[in-house]
This record gives sequence, structure tokens and C-alpha cells, in this order.
Amino acid sequence: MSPAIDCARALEMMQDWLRREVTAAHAAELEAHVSACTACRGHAEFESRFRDAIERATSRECCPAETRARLLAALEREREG
Amino acid sequence: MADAAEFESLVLPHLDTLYRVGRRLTGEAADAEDLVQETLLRAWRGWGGFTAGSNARAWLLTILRNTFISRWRSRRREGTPVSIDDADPNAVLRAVQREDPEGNFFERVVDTQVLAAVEGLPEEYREAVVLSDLEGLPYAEVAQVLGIPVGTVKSRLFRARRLLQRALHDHAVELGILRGTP
Repeated sequence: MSPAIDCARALEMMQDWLRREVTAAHAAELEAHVSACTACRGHAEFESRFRDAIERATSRECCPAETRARLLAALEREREG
Repeated sequence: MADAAEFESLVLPHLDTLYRVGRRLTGEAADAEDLVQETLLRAWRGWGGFTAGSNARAWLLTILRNTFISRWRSRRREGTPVSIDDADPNAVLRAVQREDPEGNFFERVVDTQVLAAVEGLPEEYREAVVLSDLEGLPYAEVAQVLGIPVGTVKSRLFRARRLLQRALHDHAVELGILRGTP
């Protein structure tokens, strides 16, 4: 049983935890801390809204068709030497 | 030309990702196209070095990033240098959070502002955020592309996100969404 984590450590792990990039053991420690700490529940809410804003902005912007055609043509020229 | 078809089937599924990352690194559509073109040509010439069955996306992104560093970086206009208090990076969080503890203002910041804030980050933070938070690469793959340990990816992302939070907060204050603390 590892010692309980403090708020500073919880804050450090929070964004990684939201992206499922912490070990199961660390996730359990963080979840235990957050369920007992009002301040860190607020932090988790804040971090989660921030993450959502970033994810939303991930433009599903595609490579434009004309660009794609020019790229393929450049590859073709390269192959033909 | 069986090779050509094989190469294209490996590379083309990642074209949109390469283009978007190129956009965020160079900041310009025309530069992104040049960067992706150079990346594809280098990938074709270096295809012999690609291990069949390994991660094609990471391989291509590594070439793209190296190409960016060698050909574009010096040309790109850098934003104003930003600093973050290393002694207490959470000071940014507290300052940002003071007026809006749950971060409701994030919902009112539009996507173009978020992308502009990302493009305004110092390069070592920007590339980590683009790969991880915009493109959704796992930290291990970000580490592979950037050639740094996963622990370094984590600490860069931690600081980068704090800087982004501050930039988005300042933007919300400018727009009058938040009052801002005097």
C-alpha cells in the first residue's frame, strides 16, 4: 500500500490521468485523493473542460484535394527520376 | 511498380495527419504543403530503412519533424518568448482558476483561438502538444517521434498545457468573457 498522494502530486498527474496515461496504481491513488478532496475535484473539473476545448479544436482538417494531387504528382516525378 | 503501390498504401492513410501537423508546425498552408512534400520524398528515398510492420505514422512523423527542423525552423517567426514559473507551475492554474474555478470559459473559446494559442507556444512545447493533444498520439509514440524519454514528454506537456491555459484565459479576458484579476 503506497502512501496517499497530496494535492501537488494529484495536480501533476491529473492531465495524464484524463488521457489514460498513468498506471493503474497511480490512477487508483489519484481517484482516492480526488474523491476525498473538494479542491482537487474542482481542479479535475477545470482540467477536464480544458482538455475538451483542446480536443474540440482538433480540426478534422484534411489535406485539401488539390494539395493531395500535387503531392502525389511530386512523388510520381521522384519515382520516374 | 509494385513498390510504388505498396508505399502509397502505407503512407496515404497518414496524409491528413502529416498535413495537420505540418500546418501547426509551420503555421502556413503553403509551407505545410512544401513540408509534407519533402517528407514524402524523403520517406520514399528512405523506404528501405522502414521495418515492415512497424509504426508507419511514427516513422513518417519523425521524418516530417526532422525535415521541419533542418529546413523550416530557422525561417519560422517565433512568438514572444513565454516563461513559466518552474518553482510553482500550478501558480498559473490558480491564477487562471480564480475567477472561474470550473473552467466554464473554456467552452466559449472558439477552436481557431485554441489553435492560435497552440501555434504561439515555444517550439518544444508546441510539437509535444500537437502530437499528443491535437493528434491523439500516445505518449510513447510522441516520445519516439521527438526522440526523448516519455518522462520528458510528460513534463513538456504539463508545462505546455499550463501555458495554453494562461493564453486562453488571457484571451477570454480580452474578449470580456472573464473580467480578469487586477
